[in-house]
Amino acid sequence: MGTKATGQVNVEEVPEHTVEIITNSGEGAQKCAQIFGATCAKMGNGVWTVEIIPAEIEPPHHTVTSTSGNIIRFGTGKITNWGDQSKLAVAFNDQVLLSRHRLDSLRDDCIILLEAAWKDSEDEELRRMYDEAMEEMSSKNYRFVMVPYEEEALKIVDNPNHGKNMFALGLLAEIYQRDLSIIEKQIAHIFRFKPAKVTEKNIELVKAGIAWAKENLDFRFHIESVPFEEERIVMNGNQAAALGAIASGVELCAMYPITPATSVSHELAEIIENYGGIVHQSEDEIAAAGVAIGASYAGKVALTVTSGPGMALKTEFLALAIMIEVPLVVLNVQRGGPSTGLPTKVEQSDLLSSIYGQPGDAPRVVMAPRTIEECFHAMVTARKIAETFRMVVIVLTDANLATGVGQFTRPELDVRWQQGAIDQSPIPEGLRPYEWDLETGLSKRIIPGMPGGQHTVTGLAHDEESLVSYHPSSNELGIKMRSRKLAVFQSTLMPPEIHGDDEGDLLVVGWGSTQGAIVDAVGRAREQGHKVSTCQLAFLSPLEPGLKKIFSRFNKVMTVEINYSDTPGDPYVTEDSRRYGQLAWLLRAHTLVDVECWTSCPGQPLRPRDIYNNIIAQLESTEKGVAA
Amino acid sequence: MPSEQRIGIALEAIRPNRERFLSAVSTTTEEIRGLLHGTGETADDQTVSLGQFASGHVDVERFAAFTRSDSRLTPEASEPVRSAQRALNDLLQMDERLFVLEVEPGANLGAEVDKRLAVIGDAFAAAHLVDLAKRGRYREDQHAGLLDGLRYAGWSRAERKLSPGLVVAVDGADFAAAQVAPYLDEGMKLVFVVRGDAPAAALSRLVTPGVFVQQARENGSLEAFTAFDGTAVAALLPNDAVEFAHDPLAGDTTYERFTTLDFPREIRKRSIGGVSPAQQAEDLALLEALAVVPVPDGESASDPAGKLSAWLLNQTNLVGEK
Repeated sequence: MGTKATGQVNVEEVPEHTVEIITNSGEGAQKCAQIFGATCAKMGNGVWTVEIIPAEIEPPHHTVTSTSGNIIRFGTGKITNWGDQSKLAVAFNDQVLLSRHRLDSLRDDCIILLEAAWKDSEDEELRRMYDEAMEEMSSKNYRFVMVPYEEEALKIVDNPNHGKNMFALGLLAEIYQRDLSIIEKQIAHIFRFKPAKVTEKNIELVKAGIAWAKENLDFRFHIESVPFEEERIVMNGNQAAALGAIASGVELCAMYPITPATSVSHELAEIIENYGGIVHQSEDEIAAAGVAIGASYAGKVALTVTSGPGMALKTEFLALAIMIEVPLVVLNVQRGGPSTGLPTKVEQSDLLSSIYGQPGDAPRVVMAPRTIEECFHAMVTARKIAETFRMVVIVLTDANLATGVGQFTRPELDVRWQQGAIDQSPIPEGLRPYEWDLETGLSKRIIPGMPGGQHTVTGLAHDEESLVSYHPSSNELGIKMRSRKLAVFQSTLMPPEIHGDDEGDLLVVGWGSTQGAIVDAVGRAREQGHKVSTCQLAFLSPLEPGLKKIFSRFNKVMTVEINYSDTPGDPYVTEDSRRYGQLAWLLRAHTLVDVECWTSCPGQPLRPRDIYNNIIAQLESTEKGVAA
Repeated sequence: MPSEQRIGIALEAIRPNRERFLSAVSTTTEEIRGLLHGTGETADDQTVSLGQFASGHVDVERFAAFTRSDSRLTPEASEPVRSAQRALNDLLQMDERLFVLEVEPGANLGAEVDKRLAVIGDAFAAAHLVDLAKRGRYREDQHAGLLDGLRYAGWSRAERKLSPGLVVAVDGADFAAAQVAPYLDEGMKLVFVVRGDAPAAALSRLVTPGVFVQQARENGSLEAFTAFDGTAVAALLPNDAVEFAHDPLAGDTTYERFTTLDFPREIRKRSIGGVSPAQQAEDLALLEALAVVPVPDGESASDPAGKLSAWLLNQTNLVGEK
């Protein structure tokens, strides 16, 4: 047990650390991590967390598939991704630890605080599993510290599964010298709806963990905390999107529960009524889209929230919104697919379906926040675009942003973020419901009840009077006008910002949540003298302008994405058959540049080291190509 | 029945009118919000409205060129519109109190009703002002006083049709119903909740071919009053009042239009307020003349209507006390 033999404690100064808390599902890893992450953030450290959540609600315990947990990367400076590998792990059993080992998630010198009980378990099978796991992990130089989590928790609570996590939190508090008063406040907040004695017991467990660590551990890590000058808030991307929706004046959110989007509506449901809005849980995804469209048609600011399979179901209704030009914001929190796929895991595979996944010609705006902070602000911009152009605007986030926790500057709310009341003056005589400006495709938004605005709304092809019309010229005009708005909106966009030099050997292009990891990886390559730059696209439909010109200044352009692409050289994969990453497809078609890609869909965020390795590989293959 | 309860019944009786009026006021308020939103919008306003996500991605000035502003106000017109907005908000905040007039004892009923309708008329004045401002025709010297109260006499026909109606709680002694005759037009609905003794046929002089007139006692229903789509006046009176309903849609002749008529067992013979027994008798006689089927010459008073007429005359003995 423990490692402190002489009373000497070694304190190591480090700029950052990554900690994993891994347990069976239901043993409280999330709560432990939430409190630890929030404490770090409140002390002034940069923080990024990633949840490890099994798709099953109650998977079998003590198996490699039962792993539930959280990764917390925190440091003195800003943290934008989950990093490469963890340097310290809290593990409640050997099997969940083994699952992380097999994913190469732990650094070679990782310190592992492992439950001590399994080694000498009375259950022969558990002992055998333990021995085999330790044998498998012996290839690494992990430093194991045996911790009697269960035994210590039982001194305070009857059920160790409701206490080990707080004891572990105490260990981390001591190892990283976290402020106990902040931890106590966080515990009180999390258990605010429970009897006071629950909070007291949890704090007692934390203190027991601190005491145990003081007595038994000979190492500490000091990560300088620099309190922020401005006020900051700590939350995950779904919470940020929900608050952004309220800030943008959303009056109705219609949804049907789906992982990992549901927590957006949970967040909204708790507070939106205080701001004059409602959350409507419909009977299914299709109805949710219909309700949102109806509300928007009536002049309200409407939002519908979903994830991949839900987007598929909403398809037809979204087409109606596009056809009748009702402003609508759709938040798609992407998960792994196809079908039910990987409900709790990250993937960026909905890009093309979001842009093109519609029968008929159905132009819409697609935008992708790149950080948790942008999840908040994107909702404001999306609403404004939707209303200005009477379009469907799809905001694409993913499970990485949705469940990752970070902190950002507290937004200064502004009433101008919200829709002003619609001018319901009588419609000027002679003005038709779709009186398209032939140059821009824009037309006046008429809502029910406006004097002189009575008309029939139809998903059928219609003319300016909104009357069903199958006349060839009428259909051509409608399609053209709906598409023109996209071109007009694109004319308001600016070329993307380039991180690094404006020219060089390689430009890495990403979109959405991969920004932090890509920038880290490109930064490493640049430190080694490579002429690499990156840009992270925020608007995917329409694409930001000037891409062809930007690409022309680089020898090679490569996308990095969390979706599938064929690996050249794989069986049957040829130049003719090769499938590219989704952004790569888009950029190739748009710019006619031979854009390369490196993609991966492991169900977890990309690691900077993996991106870095592929940048180097791409540079080397380009050099070889030039030499040849 | 307590006064509050009777006022509740009366308010319910004019609910459709109130809701129609409040809906119009809300719509105008929204219209004003819409008009004011964007008034004086600067480049900074546009930048902010797009949100921080747009920063570095969207050319705000260019974007602003596509935000519609065809019905926005000029900065000069915005202040009077804001005044109109305040006036409407004040009315909305009064809620049901706007539609209940409690007449102080001794006050002039007609004057009090006129004053309250002028307050309600502010809603129409506000809409008028907004319209002027939108069309660029607002002139400070001509229109500044618009929100000082628009008396009923100044309401347009359309505005009279939108009248929310009014519940008037008044002492029987002050219940000179004829004073409200000028306000019975174009769908106006008035309900009097009369406190204390009242003339038994106080509303008889308001019976005209196009106006629904009803007197109800404590347990009487105002459903027909509410259902009537037009000008209507009703009074909730003590149990010794005549109960009747005159429905303009019920027939071509006056007596056909009296759908109910029930005289009390006994009618007082004393002055109420300034109304003498003789005047009250005249009211009753008028009611009888209007409501009872005429008896052809030479026929005896053996038919029911004739009997009723004879009973009436007996009841309205003018020799009674002063």
